[in-house]
Amino acid sequence: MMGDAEELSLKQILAEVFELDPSTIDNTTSIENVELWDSLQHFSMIVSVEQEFGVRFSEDEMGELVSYERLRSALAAKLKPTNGSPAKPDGQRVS
Amino acid sequence: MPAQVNVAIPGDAESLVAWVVDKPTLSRYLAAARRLRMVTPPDWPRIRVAVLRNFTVEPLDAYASVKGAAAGFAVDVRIGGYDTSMRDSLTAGSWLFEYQPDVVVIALSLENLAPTLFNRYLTLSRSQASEAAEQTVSSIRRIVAAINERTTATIAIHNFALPRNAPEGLAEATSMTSLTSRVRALNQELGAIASGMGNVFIVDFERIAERSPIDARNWLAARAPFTPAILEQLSDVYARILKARAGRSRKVLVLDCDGTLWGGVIGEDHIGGIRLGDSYPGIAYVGLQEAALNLSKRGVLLALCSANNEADVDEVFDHHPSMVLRKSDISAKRVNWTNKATNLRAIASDLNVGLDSLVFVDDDPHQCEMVRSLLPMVLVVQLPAELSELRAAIESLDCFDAVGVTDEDRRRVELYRNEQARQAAQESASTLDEYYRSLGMTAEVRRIDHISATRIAQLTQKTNQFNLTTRRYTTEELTQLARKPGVEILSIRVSDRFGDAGLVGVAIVVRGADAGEAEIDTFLLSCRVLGRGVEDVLLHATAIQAEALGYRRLHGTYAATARNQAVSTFYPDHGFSRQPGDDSGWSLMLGDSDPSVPAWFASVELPTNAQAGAAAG
Repeated sequence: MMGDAEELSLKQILAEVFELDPSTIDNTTSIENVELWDSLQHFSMIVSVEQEFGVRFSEDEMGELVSYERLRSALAAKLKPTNGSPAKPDGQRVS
Repeated sequence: MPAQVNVAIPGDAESLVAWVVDKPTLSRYLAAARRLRMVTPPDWPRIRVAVLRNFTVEPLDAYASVKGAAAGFAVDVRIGGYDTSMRDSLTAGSWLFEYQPDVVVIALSLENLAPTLFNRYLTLSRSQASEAAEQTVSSIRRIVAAINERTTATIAIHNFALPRNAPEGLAEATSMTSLTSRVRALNQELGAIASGMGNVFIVDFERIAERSPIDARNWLAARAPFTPAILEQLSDVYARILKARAGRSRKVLVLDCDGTLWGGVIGEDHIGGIRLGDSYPGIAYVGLQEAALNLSKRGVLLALCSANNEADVDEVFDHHPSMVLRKSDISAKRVNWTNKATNLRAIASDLNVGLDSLVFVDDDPHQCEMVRSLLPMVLVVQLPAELSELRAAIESLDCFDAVGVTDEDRRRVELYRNEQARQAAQESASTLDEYYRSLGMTAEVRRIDHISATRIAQLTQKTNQFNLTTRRYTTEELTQLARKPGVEILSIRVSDRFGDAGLVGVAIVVRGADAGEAEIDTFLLSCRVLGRGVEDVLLHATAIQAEALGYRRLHGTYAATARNQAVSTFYPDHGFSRQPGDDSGWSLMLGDSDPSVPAWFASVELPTNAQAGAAAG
């Protein structure tokens, strides 16, 4: 699950990688309208998110996470503990 | 959406570096590197770094800029095209030479440079494989030669990562002709290119990739293999190269003795009791000494800075069978009871180097913090608590890179050896006061009770250096003594912002030669807290307490032993004086000139009856 703190951290990462004001980042923020979001910075952004949250995106996900909205929901799914069984070690954020 | 300035990112170069050090994430490196371009002070030395590459090295440029800034360099990085390193270096008017680089990094992936060799190795005959390997080395040799022809740049060549898996399976490590062996041989040839020239370094990517594997997903998808861990290590190496080529390397390793060269305290444990030998734990200290000896063979000068009797330390150097370092390895030493900041100044002056050439190694956090705060230009290395990390603490120092043995260095050693008189620089008292004040020291003096008796007895048994009379007591003897009239047994506990040092000092007062005189039977302090005024507090408390018992005079003696010469003038130094007809000790009239408590103590607690008695009297 994504709490407010996680969401703020995610926005902060995008702000740092793409040189944005974090308060302007919302679901409409995407590769279409962010000047610095090119294929090179896309990798840096993905790796930064993985580094911050201790998660790993699959090869398929890599190419899809081209907007804040998609990134946020993919991350939320990884941070969500699986029902009834312990969360995967790489899927849970250590607080 | 237009790019906007993020308010959370610091606005000046030093804060930016601190911001990244605080949380060294890829996104912070990127943001800080961008901001650095705008705010780097114009007087910082500007270093142009050109990167020749055949794969995605980004965001290595951001890491290099930030690590460069941490070392005080304004690093500008320009990265060449993916497959143009040969053309760029062989063409006179290429961007590479227009740029006039100070440093050229050659970062080539073997997998991209010789894909058949790397990816289909077993399809090649031995001669084909040799030919491909030779071509690889010769193209790098040509690039280096071309850069050397047109520039005076420092060249940093990445060597190659070993194959991630073993094409020959179990035989990979056995076979002299396996791909792994082949890549190792290539890396040796790269080393041979570099070792022939003073301006060429090898960046040991083979070792880095062994420690921190590349990101296989990003390598496949974007030819971008570097993980944050790899980027950290590579940019660390670049920063070392920048410092080495700027002559910023340090020259002297200054070593503490007790707890550093050996375990234990020589003044207390004697030569047979210190930990130094061929098994645990003594072997850890042998390892540290070996690392220091290796450094000295690289031209680093070694010095000693220790709070000890010089004769004790000399004895270990001369007679301990497991000592690795010899006196002849030591170029300067200060073994005395002066504070270490003053001693470090003196060592720098002996060796004719600046304080910024010194690295100071000590196990004691207080000493380290004092040197850090008084002499910020000295690099302070506080030894880790784990003995298994001692050797690495010395071997991993990255500040000696450019040091070679020069004639000048050798002459310096001679100069020192012939030197008769030393001029020790005086540390200004006000600065030391400020330092002590910053420690927030508190002291608490208490009368003996059944809990403290055991520790007090232990201190009388094992304290040798700061011990005026060296009288040994058992717990039972102390308990009996405490019951006698006119006797007071005091102990002192101290703590500061680093923590609680515990019960560290003892004073025992008994009836003296006449009714009005209190004899100081015992006055001792653990060597852990020497030199911070704790003895002044204990003496103050002793005087107050003696007064409360009705005494008018304090009398103290010094009984010389082989270990306690540091305190031979303790009483005269504290306002006591010789009385006519008494050459056994020194006396102090109580009441008017009681020893005072140093102003830097944040709080001092005395036994309640002493305060009450003093107030009543």
